Amino acid sequence: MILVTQVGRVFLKFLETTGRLSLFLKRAILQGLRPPYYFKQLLRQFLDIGYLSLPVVGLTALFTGMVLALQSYTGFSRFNAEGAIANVVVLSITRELGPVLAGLMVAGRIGAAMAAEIGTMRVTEQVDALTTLSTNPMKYLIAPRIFAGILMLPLLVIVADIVGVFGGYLVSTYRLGFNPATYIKQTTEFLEAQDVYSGLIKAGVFGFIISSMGCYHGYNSKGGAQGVGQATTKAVVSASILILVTNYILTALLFER
Amino acid sequence: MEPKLSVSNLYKSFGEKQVLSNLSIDVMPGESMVIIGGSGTGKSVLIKCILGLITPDSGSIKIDGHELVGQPMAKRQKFLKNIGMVFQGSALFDSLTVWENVAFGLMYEKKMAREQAKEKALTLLATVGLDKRVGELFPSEISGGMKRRVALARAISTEPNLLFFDEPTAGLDPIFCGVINTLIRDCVKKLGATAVTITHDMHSARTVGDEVAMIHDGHIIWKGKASKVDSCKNPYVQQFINGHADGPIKLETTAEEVA
Repeated sequence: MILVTQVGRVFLKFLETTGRLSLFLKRAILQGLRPPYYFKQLLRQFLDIGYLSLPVVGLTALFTGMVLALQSYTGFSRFNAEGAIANVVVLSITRELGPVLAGLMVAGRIGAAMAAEIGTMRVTEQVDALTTLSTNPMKYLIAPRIFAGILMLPLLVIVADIVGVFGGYLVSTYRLGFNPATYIKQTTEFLEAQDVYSGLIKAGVFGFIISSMGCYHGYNSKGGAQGVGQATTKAVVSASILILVTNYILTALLFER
Repeated sequence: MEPKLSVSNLYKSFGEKQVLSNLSIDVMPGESMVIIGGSGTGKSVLIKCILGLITPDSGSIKIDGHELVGQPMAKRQKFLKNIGMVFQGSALFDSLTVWENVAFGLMYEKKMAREQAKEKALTLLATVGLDKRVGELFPSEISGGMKRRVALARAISTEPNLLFFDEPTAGLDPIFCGVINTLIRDCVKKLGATAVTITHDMHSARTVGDEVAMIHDGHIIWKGKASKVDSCKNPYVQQFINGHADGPIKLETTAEEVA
């Protein structure tokens, strides 16, 4: 009986949080689409989420592509299928690893920063101060971050795709002795537009998830430093889990025939 | 004459705790009202209800006769344009420089050009006794007393006609307290604004207030001229202004009860 009560309580809490989050995002998006627009804030977020995440996303993609080529070689050589390495690298990077790894890295870097910044503003009354200065916090703080997240993640994933494939090329040609021209031909031969744009669709959704979680948990943080710390943890954990769950759902929707 | 600010029968609770209970108070135009009361008696909650940062459970809040309770945010923002607020912790935007903090309302609300807003912000900083070099610093680089002055400059930047001060001298040394009190009094007079100040500090209350009201158990228990507060017979007011441990105001938990 106690177990049923506990499960019921958790379920009700889940429904309550989902409802609050939905209302929060509805307010942020609808109000963000109406003037006045804070372009400077939007540009700042483009810079934070996009440009400043390039090194971490680039490095992750580079080494993932390199490891992928190396691992595929050691596995595929057992049944003489080394020729498929280029295809495996490019398809894995564009369809899955590019968007998912970029999403997880940005969740750690940007989701945490958003929750910490907005959370600190909340507990030090800076959000209230915005309201008293006739500035809607939803328009000024939340909407630019959400829009920038949706727009910047696909751009980061394009970079991750290119760098990841290049990492595979480097290992395959310089370490494993593949012919560069053949490798490039094999990479492009079986790659379809859908492989790339499905990854970009995923990236847009992941960008929305990361910025939403960062903003929601930061905006609703309570107390002092401890509250901000909890908000940061919740933002990263919830964004990471949602990215993995959503990735499965999107893969099923985009590729299941 | 119609009150500038009229609060009537205001109730607000957080869970089981009733913070505001049938609170009513009127502030006349041009008046400087000081609200005193112990910690946790609902002073800050009252201001936040007026500003729309907290939604009251019931009651009425009117500014210039216009009802604010239950109004959508867009409508409330029309009134917020004429309101300035100095928060207890200053609440300066730490990602902006000092002058950008002061010019925030000018740039975003009054749509003033950046250069023009900077010029006005530096003039306002001079008004509160801060050098223009301070304008280029970030809030984390200035002292608590300077932050409070910057917050005051920010609050008066858009020339509001209703000003709120939440514990403006809390945590400051006596000299800075005196400076802030004088600045508040001068700025309010210069703007011809109506002011509501929340404070524990009786020296501050006597300096900035025309009227003093005392809040206890979520409602106003005494209201009168600032000059009469010392001679009033209300035992709650007397205990509060004299800082006596014994009297009608009981601490929620005494040391004996804990033991």
